[in-house]
Amino acid sequence: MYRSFEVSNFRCFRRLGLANIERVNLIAGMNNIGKTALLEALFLHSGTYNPELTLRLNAFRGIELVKLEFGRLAETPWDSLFRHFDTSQVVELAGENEHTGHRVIRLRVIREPEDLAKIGQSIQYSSDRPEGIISLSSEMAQVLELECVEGDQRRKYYVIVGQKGVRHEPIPPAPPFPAFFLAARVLIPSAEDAERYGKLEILGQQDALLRALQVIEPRLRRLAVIVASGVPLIHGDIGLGRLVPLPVMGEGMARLASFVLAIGNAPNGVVLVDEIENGLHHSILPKVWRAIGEVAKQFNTQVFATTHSLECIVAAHKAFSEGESYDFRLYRLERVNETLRAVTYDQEALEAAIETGLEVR
Amino acid sequence: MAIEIEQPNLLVEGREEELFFEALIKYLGLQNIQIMPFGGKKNLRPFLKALVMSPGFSEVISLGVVRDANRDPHGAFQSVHDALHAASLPVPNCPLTPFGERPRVAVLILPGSDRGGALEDLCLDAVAQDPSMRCVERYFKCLQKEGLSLPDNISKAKVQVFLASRHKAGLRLGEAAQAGYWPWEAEAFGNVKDFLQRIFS
Repeated sequence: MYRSFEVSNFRCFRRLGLANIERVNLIAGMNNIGKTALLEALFLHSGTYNPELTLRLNAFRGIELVKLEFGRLAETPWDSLFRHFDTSQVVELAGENEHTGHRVIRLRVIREPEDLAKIGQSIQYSSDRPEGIISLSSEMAQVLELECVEGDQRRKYYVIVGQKGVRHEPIPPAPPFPAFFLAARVLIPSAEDAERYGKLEILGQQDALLRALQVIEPRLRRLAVIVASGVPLIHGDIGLGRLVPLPVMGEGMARLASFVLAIGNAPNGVVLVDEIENGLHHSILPKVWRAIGEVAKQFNTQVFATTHSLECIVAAHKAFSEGESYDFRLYRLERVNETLRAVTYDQEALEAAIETGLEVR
Repeated sequence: MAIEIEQPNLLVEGREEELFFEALIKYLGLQNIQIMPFGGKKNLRPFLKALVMSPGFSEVISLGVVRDANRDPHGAFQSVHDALHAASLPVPNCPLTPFGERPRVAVLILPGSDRGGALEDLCLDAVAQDPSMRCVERYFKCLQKEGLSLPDNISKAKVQVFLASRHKAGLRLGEAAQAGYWPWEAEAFGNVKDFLQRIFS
């Protein structure tokens, strides 16, 4: 569970810090202020040793294809990760996690021939792959270095994009905890949700989804995965004499199911949701937050979400105020004198702002 | 619709105070002052905490805080003092005198002059010489003479009876200010006018 997080030279941020992070965290702010970028930074940090995640961020933003050019001055797939597209800087992501301690991730684009040669050599000596010796030059490949600093340990991992594709050196180990990114533009395939439901079922934890969905649809009695035309799909029994596919019950049900399944599949980990209010009617938002809060607690999962919606913020505040504990935090990103900062609302400040109609988005 | 912060800011307890100060500020010819009710004395501390976090607050150059003394003018000032401190705002040492920069902060405790009471007492001071006030006083003496109990908040009751004597009866204190029933030129309003001009001129 993250307690604090700091990002430097990433996307639009020169430097931005989050303190007093809670189990469920909502990030608000105007358009183009960095809400999604902050989720991306958390996603990269959660991935820990895996520089390849940087390439997935483009896909989350709806950019599926990356034009590849080679040469010292060519654009790289990572340029947009660096503030002002300045790849001579180093991106730094630092997080304090109560389980894994303090960890710093640094991203650096390697362009200089001598640096590339050194990396080629170090990979040659450390790699146990049959292809062995690697010759790197900016005319053949683009290279991103990920340095992970944990305590007094420093480890470096590289993602190399060449004409033959993408390769990692060395192969990164699994991250210390699971993390899922639910992008605003990318719908989670029903089959993926069904697979995650199956994983919960294996562990006998499938009732977590049933209970969460019953908050919105009290008629729901049971859930089952049905394979139709080779595609698994979650169905529900709402007393109609037959099972009904979850997406047919409504977008709100399908969205909540995706949230809950991601949370349930990330025990002790992190779930990041961009524009969480999408597809959800304001009247069910308090119920959705209550369900998210309960499942996040059950699986000890930390949730970070973004929103543009005041109704969403008010609903979250109401749901957590009425719950057993207020393990919720609102951060509002704002620009002051060309610098971005995160304003942290605790329960008292948020209550006063909502009661008196002060702007919190 | 959420409130957006403009500048400068005057914070008052409730809706009546908002209407009252809106009318007085208009009378004084002061421009572009945003008046915000903080929802009662108990809410000032969380309100200030939320206000300083609001978008645009960093642009606010002056901030006035007005609250009633009730029974304890020193306690009331101390409570505003503590709320300003908790919100990391400049904290004046005494009422009326502005302190600090960006924002410059001043506090007004009503009715003023180190005595207990509220905005109603200030308004009653301002109309003390109005002929109808003799009738107002006689009305409450009559109630006593008849052995009837008097209202808890006698000043509020007197304001209501006084306003019942106006051409358009039934207005509340703030609405009466908007209707021009409080004599702004009265000496009783001197400190309040001086406070507004010092912080917002």
